[in-house]
Amino acid sequence: MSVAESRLAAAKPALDVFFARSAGAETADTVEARPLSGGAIQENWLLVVDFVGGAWDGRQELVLRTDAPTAVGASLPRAHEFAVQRAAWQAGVTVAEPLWLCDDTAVLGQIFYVMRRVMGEAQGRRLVADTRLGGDRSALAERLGRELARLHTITPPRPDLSFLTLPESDAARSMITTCRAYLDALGVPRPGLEWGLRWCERYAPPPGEVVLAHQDFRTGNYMVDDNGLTAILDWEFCAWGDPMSDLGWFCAKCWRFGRDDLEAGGIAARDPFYRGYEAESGRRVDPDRVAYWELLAHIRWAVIALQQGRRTAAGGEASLELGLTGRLFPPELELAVLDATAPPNWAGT
Amino acid sequence: MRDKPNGAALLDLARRVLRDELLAELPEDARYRARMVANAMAITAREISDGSRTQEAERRALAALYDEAPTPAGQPETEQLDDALARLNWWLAAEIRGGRRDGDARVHALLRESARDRLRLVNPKALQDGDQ
Repeated sequence: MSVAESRLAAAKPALDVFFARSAGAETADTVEARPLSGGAIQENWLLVVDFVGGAWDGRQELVLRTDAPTAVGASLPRAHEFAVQRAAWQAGVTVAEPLWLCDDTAVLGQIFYVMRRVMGEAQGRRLVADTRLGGDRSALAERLGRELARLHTITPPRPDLSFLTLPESDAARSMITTCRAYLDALGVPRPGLEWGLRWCERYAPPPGEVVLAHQDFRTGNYMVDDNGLTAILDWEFCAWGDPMSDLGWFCAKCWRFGRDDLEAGGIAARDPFYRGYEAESGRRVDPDRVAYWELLAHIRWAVIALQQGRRTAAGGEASLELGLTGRLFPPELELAVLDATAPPNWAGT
Repeated sequence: MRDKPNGAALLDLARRVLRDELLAELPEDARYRARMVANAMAITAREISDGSRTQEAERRALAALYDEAPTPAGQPETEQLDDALARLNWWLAAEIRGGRRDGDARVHALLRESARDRLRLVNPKALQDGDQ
């Protein structure tokens, strides 16, 4: 749609000035603005901008990312997300190149950043169901393993990521503490999830390496075209963590979109995914540790779903989706957690 | 006494019209939203039909765990169902977190039943056949 028809209409003059200055162009003219389907937390806009002069001369397609009206505190603010996305880009991860951060809220009313547009399909259910997407699925899983390995080359300390705090204890116990704090903040008792968290506390693996973990690396958060991967998305949950936690999140049964038999994200067997990760990282995949993180993934996703269920104040479609998320997912996740931690699994210390 | 059909039945009829007739006439981008609406209606209809049955069962199980005498039938409740459930669940949650119920088979069975009851309301298809 034309910019005048969009919600960005009032911001166009200031946006154009920001774009021209950032691109080193004489002028910039935003000629189109269209909201892209995005998360409930962020808002993504496709912008078509005509630049005159400078390195960006000509017509460019950009994606603008800012907070949605229903944003929550659990995710990174946009300025920090921009920094982790840049770090990932520099580490060679396939990601939309982040270009410019605008922390002057006078331009849009909120902080935003702009990245290069990348084409592709991300929707998890569609991707899992339509095997024409993403090219050869084994190759895709192997590639995703390699991508994760590249991300995991980023280790603390990093001055550009100084806003990320190191876990106080090890990553597992830190995640348990976080989940408990979220449950307390929700103000509703969840003994089923507490049961799972207590098991995780008792059987936490020994502390290990700390790397930059994506923390939402799963089918649904990467884009593919007919040939393969085009970009890994949604960097707002990044944190210092256990490398195996990202593998566990990716393989967890709750992220297979109906293809439980394809244990690597509903797209392939684990083998190619692990193979890609091991080949690129030189690190061995520890199956026990991954299994542990898969259990914690169910708990964490249940907690996030419960949080989302509370964010229905804004009304409209987004709120209905969030409300349904809060009702639909927790019971099944809780049941899976309880089945994985039945009394016989508490033998030993 | 209300006339038939009751609220749950009406909601179910309305949902069927939406799902079986209106959905096909909607543009592609509106169908996802309409499916969400139908889903919300289905959950609500099941909740209305269930009444307070599953919550009562949950309270009975929790009360038995703590040797609380259930209120005899026909006697007025001194404590609202929601409050009683919250109180008992908080207590159990704190016990579990504190490591006082590690591997407790009775607690595990109770928690499974509670999760299954909630799942039955929101997505009965997810309960495996013969496991209902």
